[in-house]
Amino acid sequence: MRSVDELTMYVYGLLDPAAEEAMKDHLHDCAECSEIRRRIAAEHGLFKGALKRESPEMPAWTSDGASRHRRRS
Amino acid sequence: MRRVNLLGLETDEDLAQRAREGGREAERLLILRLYPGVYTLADRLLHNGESARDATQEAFLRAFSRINQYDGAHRFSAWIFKILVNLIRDEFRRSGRVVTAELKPDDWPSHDPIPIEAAIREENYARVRNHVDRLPEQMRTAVLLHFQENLNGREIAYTLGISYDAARLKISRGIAKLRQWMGEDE
Repeated sequence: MRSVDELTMYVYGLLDPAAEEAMKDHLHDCAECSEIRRRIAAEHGLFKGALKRESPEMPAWTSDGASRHRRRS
Repeated sequence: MRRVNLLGLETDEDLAQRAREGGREAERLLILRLYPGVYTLADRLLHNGESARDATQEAFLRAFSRINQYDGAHRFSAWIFKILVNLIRDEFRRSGRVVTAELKPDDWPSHDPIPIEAAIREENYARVRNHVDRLPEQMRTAVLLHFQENLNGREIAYTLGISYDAARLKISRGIAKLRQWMGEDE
């Protein structure tokens, strides 16, 4: 059984390659950890959806490039 | 790291190289590609649309005025996020130009009927964003860069000027705090 912290690091892609491979092997054989991994992945989806990039209105200077404009004071 | 371009489109790094050589069109394309992400991060750190717009423009101005310093070791987006984060930390906060926006009536959520699932999802999203705002500054920035911009641990470390292990710790601790606070809402 792996810790929730370890499983979180795995789902979030924060493990080193060797640890990631070991976790994959473990998940293959451990139904309990696989279920926790599934729930962490769902949580990841929630966070990602909440923090997705906005689509702001593009100011006029973006059409010309930064070098031709100075920021207003 | 070599970046493979399968669609035949120029990568940000290709465009940065052309911008280094004086390509105005490359500069313009980079701004159009990256403005939404840079602005979103600025807005989420500053909580003020005007300050965020100013910070975003200043970040691009600084980036292109020192484009020769971009060495290609990280994605170009990570480089410009690093400039933005330093700018916000060093200038805007010190000068006291950052004003926390108050909700005006026009900003209040609409009362138009929306499907219940969408309403629940939006409510959960709002809870997440509120909790992210409670995180310490550097942890919040790391979490935003991870979820909003898909930056990996090494890119976040570079952007924040901290070690890889410290960046991983900030992200994992940030997630643990969000998980705890979301659980306390239940």
